[in-house]
Amino acid sequence: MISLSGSPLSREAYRIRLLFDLAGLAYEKLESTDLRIKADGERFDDAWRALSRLAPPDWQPDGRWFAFARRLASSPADTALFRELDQHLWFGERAGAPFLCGDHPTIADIGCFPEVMMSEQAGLSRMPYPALRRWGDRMRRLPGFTVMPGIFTLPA
Amino acid sequence: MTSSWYPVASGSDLVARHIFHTALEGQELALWRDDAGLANVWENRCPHRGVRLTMGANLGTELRCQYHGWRFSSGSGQCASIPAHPGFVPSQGLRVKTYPCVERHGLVWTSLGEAEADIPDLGTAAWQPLRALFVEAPMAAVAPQLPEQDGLMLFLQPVSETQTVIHGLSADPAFSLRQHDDALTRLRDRIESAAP
Repeated sequence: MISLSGSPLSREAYRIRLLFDLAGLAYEKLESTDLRIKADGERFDDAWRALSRLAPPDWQPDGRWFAFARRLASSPADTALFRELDQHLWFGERAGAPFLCGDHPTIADIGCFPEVMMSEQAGLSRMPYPALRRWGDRMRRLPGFTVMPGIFTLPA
Repeated sequence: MTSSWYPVASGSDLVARHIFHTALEGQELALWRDDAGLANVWENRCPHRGVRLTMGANLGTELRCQYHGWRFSSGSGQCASIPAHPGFVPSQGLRVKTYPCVERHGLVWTSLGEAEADIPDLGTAAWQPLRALFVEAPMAAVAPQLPEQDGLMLFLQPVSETQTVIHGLSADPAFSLRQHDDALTRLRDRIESAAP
């Protein structure tokens, strides 16, 4: 059994929630704004480790882009990271890889998603990153997609 | 107002049900392709409350503003419906400002006013668009740095007074997209490090 609590404004909690909802994992929502993640009796203090440990096999990324997501989360206003991501996704679009690690989304995509979609809060417009904006659409159209305040849904 | 034709996107940027965000000479633009394949270049501003249309949704035949759900028709920009007034037929004046849109050589071209010159005619060669490079420098600082190379055409889009996009077309199969991209990325970095 998995349980989760956290502030609606917490990106850490949102990433976990997004994984559970996209991957179709059942979980219990606990009423607290403190971030608490428990799975089969084990309590996770580190939300990134929880993301990695609780993701099913087909949601496991390659190490490079998961590490990238963690870098982005700690430097959300770094234009060099946005440029690297945009370039990677542009070439991916031409190679049949619409997501960071290939043809399906992984926790590397989930890891980057809140920082990209709320880049304005870090003072960055997404206008210079067109491939990143298209990836944002693809993420928002995944079955099971859920939002947090500041992120909108898209119609199919 | 006189102006020029500028490329503002590549045709492949305008994927189905997407709204592409760019700007030309400080004017923000929302570009989108309808389900029949027609590309639109619109002012990025809902005529109702001025909200950016790029925050909204491409519904296939109409664009829907995120703020109050007003819908605008492909082609004309005419307001088609207003959710808060279901029976109301929006007047003819209620429309998004549209700009001319021509797809040629794999790029999407527009002009903010009466264009003095035509879109460049590049003949029938198979031009392949490169990844557009966004440069944090004014067009006047970028233009003198562009390389001359056979089988490579570079065009500049003045985004604002401080930002420029380089659009490239290649007709030389000896160079891969990645090689061109590496070269243009180095060019961008050089220009930006020289900019004040």
